[in-house]
Amino acid sequence: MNVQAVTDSVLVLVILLNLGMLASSRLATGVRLFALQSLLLAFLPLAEEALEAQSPGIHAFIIAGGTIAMKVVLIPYILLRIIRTGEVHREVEPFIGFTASVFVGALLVIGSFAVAMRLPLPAPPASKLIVPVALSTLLLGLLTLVSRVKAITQVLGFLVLENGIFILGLLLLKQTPLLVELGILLDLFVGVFIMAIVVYHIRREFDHMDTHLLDALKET
Amino acid sequence: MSAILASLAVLLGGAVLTAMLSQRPRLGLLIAMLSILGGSLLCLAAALPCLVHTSAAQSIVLAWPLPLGEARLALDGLSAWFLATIALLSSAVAIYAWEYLQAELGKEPVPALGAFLCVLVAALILVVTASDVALFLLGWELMMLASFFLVAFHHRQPEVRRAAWIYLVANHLGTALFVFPLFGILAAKAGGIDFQTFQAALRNSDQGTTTVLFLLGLLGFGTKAGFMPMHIWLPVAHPAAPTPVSALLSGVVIKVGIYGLLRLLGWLPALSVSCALVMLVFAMVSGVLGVLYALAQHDIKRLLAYHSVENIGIIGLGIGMGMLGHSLGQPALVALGYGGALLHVLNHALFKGLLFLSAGAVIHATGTGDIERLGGLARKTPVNAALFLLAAVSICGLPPFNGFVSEWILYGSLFSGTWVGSRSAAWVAAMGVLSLALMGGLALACFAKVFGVVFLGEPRERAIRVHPTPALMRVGMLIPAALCLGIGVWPTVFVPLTAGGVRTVAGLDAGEVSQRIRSVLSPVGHLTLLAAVLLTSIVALGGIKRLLLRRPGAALAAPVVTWGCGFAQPTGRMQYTASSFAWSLIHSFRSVLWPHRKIAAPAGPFAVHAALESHVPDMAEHDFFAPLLRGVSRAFRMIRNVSWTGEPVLPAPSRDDGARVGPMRVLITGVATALRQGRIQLYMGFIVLTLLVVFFVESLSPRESAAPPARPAARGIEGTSK
Repeated sequence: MNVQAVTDSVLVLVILLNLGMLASSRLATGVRLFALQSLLLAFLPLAEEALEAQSPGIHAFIIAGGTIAMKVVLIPYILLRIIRTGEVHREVEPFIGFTASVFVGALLVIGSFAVAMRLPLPAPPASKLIVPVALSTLLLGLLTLVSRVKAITQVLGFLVLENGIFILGLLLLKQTPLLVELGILLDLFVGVFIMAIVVYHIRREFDHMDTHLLDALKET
Repeated sequence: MSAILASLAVLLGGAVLTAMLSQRPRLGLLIAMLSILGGSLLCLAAALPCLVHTSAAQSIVLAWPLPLGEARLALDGLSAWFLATIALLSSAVAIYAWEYLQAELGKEPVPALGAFLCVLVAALILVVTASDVALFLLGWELMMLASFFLVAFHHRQPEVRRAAWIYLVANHLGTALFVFPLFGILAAKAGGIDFQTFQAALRNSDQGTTTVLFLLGLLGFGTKAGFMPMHIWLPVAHPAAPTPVSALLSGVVIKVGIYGLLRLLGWLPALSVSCALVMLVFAMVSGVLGVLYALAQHDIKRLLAYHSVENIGIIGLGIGMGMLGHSLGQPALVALGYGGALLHVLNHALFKGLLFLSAGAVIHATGTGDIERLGGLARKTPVNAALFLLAAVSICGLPPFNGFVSEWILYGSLFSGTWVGSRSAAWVAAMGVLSLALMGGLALACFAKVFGVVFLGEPRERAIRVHPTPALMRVGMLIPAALCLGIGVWPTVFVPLTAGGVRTVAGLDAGEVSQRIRSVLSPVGHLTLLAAVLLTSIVALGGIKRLLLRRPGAALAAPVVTWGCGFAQPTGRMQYTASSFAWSLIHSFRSVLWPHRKIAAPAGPFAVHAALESHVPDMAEHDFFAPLLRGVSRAFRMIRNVSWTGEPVLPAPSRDDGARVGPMRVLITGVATALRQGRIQLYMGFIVLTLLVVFFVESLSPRESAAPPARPAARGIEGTSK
């Protein structure tokens, strides 16, 4: 078990977690899967530096720590709290059914592998899996955003999408400036915070968390 | 060059300062006008040496990373000529506006007007000196937006808001449909956006490409300039805008369209003869129809706006002759055509600016611009009347003023065009001579009408109180007036200054240009002298008459009303009205103009009621654009009326004429229902789908080499993430 193999299996796990999120109808499960995915991703910067045969620097440690604090602890905590207080536990009647969305998701994963082979890159990636995994995480996040009804799942889709960007960022910006990484984390936190407030208000106003009624303001 | 940068800085600084001083409008206005004045003088200082020495183009590259590269500014003969035009008119307008806008203080947001005026002048300077596509389009848009806000100054009146929207929509349509594609093609051909590279890139392009580029330029820049079918925003926007703004709009903003066209012609190699003929036909139609419509107007500013269309037609005649000379290889035609057109650009800016300012003084004095309600103003505001008369004589192309000089040069080019060999060209040039003569005669009739009705005779309505023209307004008007006279009297001083511009457009040597023009101008001196003698003798006769009348013991006839028509008790309302004055001419052109006239003729020996109403609808507006846009809006309404449940939310606006539900309509409604579900997720889905398609196409398309295109792909991914 060298570092390469560990990294690859982590990446494969990330994809599986994505598909798991698509398949789960329970909101809390989805959030927990997201937390697990983020935990796995948090170790990637460390592995990245290890792959290049250096000892992980302070930079990588700060990123990993920030990711764990934000995406593994804080954000799932906020989301789970909303789910608890909102007493909404299941995603019912999504636009694309659970089985169908897993199927579409699998197609998207295949598609991203096909594309990633041909994608011109500025530098050869540390692992061959990084680009396809990043792309498929991105696309599956978008799929969640598009196909689900509950506001919480929308937030979840957005977060998964961000995880995809995170993986891509590892590859494209070898030495991501620390400030940028931290800035993204802060952005994410603020975004989720605001969305949590919005979701809370949606629930108070309509007594549920569907985004169905949000089209009432549509221009006629 | 540094003077231009300084003037841009002054103008933008003035704009910011004025906008911040909205609590103290008077001070803000003062700062705005002073910065316009300062900026104009700086520009003039930059432009004049370039015009006099006809030196090579100076350019400057600013290390200011625009999204599309650095900012490049350049000053050559063409830019300098337009820059001088802008500077001269805007300095006059700045002086005038300070006094004119005093009346608006406290009623309307005057500091905003001042700030936008600064922005407008800065944008104009930027457009004519920009030397790359990005900066040019930046200035172009800035100019359009600034003038939109300026037109909408009296925004509480619904018709002003409508005019401003028409202005914005018409100009943006012209820009989006024609100017953007034009620059897109140019940039693709040259592989860059630097103006300096375009000419070399187009040197070997085939006839078809250059024709397409020319037509795009003609339609796109022609919308701004106001050539005939695209002119519809002009007669709407000019009357709605406050006077200093209409003077700038008519004097220089529409000239920027001409600048764009000339700049484009400078890049293109010699075009085919048919392109030149298209240009000439456009110009003739604009000129003749413009002046005919002007003749039929009752609102003084609207009338002047139609005269702008006419004068753009005259400029277009010059450009067309220049193009013809270029494609036939006749340097004389090139020099005379382009030279005459450039000179007419400046002349029109001067006399039309003066006319608008003078009309503004009329409105300032009486509160109305309706010609039918005015009369006898010459006695109340003699200076303004004299200035209006001067400008009117100039615009009619009579010596010894500037309009005569440029039209003389254009006549010269048209006459030499009639024997250049190409048969069709000769025919069109002969038509051009005729139409230019027609324009001159009709313009004379039109201004005889305006001047006669507004300034001569008796006041028509006693209720209208006349305020005198303030001194600074008169000073502002004296600047263009002095230049009108100066160019007319010393044409040999001013005309050679166009040589640099002609060289930029047609690559003709500057010395040859001025020599050709001088040879045509030689009789002008005598004619001008004759006219000057005539004018002085008229003035002298007037003086002698006054002297004789003042002599003690001269038997004075009782003063009677002018044009009293022999009535025993004439009143002001019995005078010739503008409509009746113009009617005979309009009637003889009724097959072109289609005038509407409603007469309730007096009946019986003791007629109580009689009424006459006449107006001439604009053909391009009512018979072309209105049906077109109505169709577009009907299609949009069809899409809007379909709700996400599939049933119409709004009852379709009372189309109870049994509208047939055709297959097209069913198709459109079906597609619209499918697309407009109103669900956020669906809309997000569309975005995702689009991004996916772009991404897959971009990443799967075959590439020549692997290394360089890495960046666009990376950008695509970031784009997805946003």
